[in-house]
Amino acid sequence: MRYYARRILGFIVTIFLVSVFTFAIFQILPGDPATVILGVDADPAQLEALRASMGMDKPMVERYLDWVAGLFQGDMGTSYKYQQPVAQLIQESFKVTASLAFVSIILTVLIGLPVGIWLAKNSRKPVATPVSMLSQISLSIPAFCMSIFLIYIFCVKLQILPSFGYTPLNKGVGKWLKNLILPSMAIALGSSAALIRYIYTSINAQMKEDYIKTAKSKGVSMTNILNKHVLRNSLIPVITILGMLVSDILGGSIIIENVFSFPGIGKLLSVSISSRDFPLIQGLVVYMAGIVVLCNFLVDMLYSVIDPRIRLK
Amino acid sequence: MIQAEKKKRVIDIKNLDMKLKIENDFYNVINEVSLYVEEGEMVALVGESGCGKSMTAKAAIGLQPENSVLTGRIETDNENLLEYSEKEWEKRRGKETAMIFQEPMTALNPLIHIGKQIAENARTHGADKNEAKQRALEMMKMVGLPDVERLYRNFPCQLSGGMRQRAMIAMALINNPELLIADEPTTALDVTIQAQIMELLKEMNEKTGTAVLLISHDLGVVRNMCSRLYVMYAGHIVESGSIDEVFENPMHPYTRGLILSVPDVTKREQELVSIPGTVPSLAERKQEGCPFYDRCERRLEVCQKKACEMQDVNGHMIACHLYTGTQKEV
Ligand SMILES: Nc1ncnc2c1ncn2[C@@H]1O[C@H](COP(=O)(O)OP(=O)(O)OP(=O)(O)O)[C@@H](O)[C@H]1O
Ligand SMILES: [Mg+2]
Repeated sequence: MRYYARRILGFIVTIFLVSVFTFAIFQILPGDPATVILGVDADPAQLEALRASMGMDKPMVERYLDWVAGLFQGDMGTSYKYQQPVAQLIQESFKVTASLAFVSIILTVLIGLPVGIWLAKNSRKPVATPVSMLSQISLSIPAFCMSIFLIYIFCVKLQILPSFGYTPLNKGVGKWLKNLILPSMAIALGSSAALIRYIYTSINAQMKEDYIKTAKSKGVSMTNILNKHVLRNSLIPVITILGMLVSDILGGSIIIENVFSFPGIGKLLSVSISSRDFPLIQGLVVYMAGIVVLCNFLVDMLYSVIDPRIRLK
Repeated sequence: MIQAEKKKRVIDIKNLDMKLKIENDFYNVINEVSLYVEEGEMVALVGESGCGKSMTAKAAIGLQPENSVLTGRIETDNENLLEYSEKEWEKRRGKETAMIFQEPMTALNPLIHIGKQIAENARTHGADKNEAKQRALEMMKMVGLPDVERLYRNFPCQLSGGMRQRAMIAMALINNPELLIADEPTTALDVTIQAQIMELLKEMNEKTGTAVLLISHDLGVVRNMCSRLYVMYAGHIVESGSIDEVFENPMHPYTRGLILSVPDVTKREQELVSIPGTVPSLAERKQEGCPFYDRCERRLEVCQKKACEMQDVNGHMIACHLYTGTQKEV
């Protein structure tokens, strides 16, 4: 129980620090939002009025508290560029990115888990070498190169999948998937290669543990040792990797969404940066940081479910 | 005497050699080791760290390292276990031959309930789920674990070292094996717990009739527990015989050194002697002469060139030139 209390406290503190940090960054950043909106030639009186309406004339701490209070009510301010509430913009884009991340992670696990286990089981056989090399190669190819490669094969040559655009889930799962499959593949090929490496090393490390000797001394067959003893133990470090993959995929989606013209968080972020849309950037950063922290928190919780040593401490 | 000869040998190791292949070189780990355990008997294998005790034990249950080469024979039931396939070993391990290890803290899978791990040994050898569980609970009671129904669903991290070793013993004995190999089962435990576990081993040996090959470097413990003793040095058995005989009349200078280095509570003023030097590492071992030559205080000229064959001095086996041709008295 103490474990959960500590984790939850840690979660809250992290979120708080992230919000302070994000807020501070945009205070330090040079450039005055009012000037950005109205242009350099704007009338000083107009600038002053705009600043006041944005609350820029208040002291920093007060502005931070206002902002945080807003966050709690789901109000992240208004985007300069879109003239829409930031929260609403993020919410819409999030559906797209979440879909992308979801399918990517599913694909990553679907490819990485069996191949990693297979590789660990067959590492001595000659067939393991090409598989291991292939995973090494796909690990070293950046996702956007992979996207172009996939677009070339599936859109240009085979012409079976669309090369851009996004269809919302409510228009049908098939259509939704059809648009998602290529960008997800581009992300998943690299990340599943990483997953394969981790599972492989993790299983090999577990095989050296003492409890394997015990299982062998009971006459448990190699297959059963792997399935009943090793797999669960080697998944513990792998869960960490999955948690980290979520942040990787969020970061990677900025590029991938641009390649495939996806109206997701990544796209929104790149637009907001190029247009210096501070409320939007700020909102996005907090949002993404929050998701990463939340994922790590969930990973910690998952740990405790799997590992009694943590749960019972 | 005649009755003793009829007893079945649950393991009979004959001239066992083990070489380890390390970077294209072969190193002798075990040389010409012969050792047997009769049914129901408790036999000790002693020697300093690095003598090859664990390697002998691993070979006896078919778990030697993959880079090892074994020659010689390991016999039971008129079969040479060295010819066993992995499948045949899997049938034997945990059923006829069981083993417990030095480290109870790590020897259990941290993610599986204690009881299930004990039951697994019965499951592997044919018991159905219910029967395995019943037998596991019975064994847990038998080895003195408290509140077994609850403990069955505990994880290893919830048990103390002593309790885990009890669980290991329950696991090893669940199929009522002929032979239990206990490789320094108490080295990692508190002194008070050590005595309890040893007591339990002795008790289980008497109750179930499972023979025990007890590996230890604690001669004091061995003396109270076992009926026979093998002394191992640098991969060789240098002396063996009944406990009383060897302790009252140790012959090999190595055995004498070992016995002298055991603190004796009855002699308060006694000076503790330790054997000078250490066991040579695999690479340092010589190919010819007595393995103990470098550390021996009573070495003879002949010892440098030629190792002594094992000789029988009234049932007390000894490999030392000091006793060539002599009878019992020195
Ligand atoms: N995997 C290995 N590779 C190389 N050498 C090894 C390996 N395992 C053991 N050895 C060496 O083999 C020799 C015998 O080791 P073994 O573990 O049987 O000793 P031991 O008598 O059981 O000692 P201890 O009392 O420390 O357990 C030692 O010199 C050790 O260094
Ligand atoms: Mg050992």
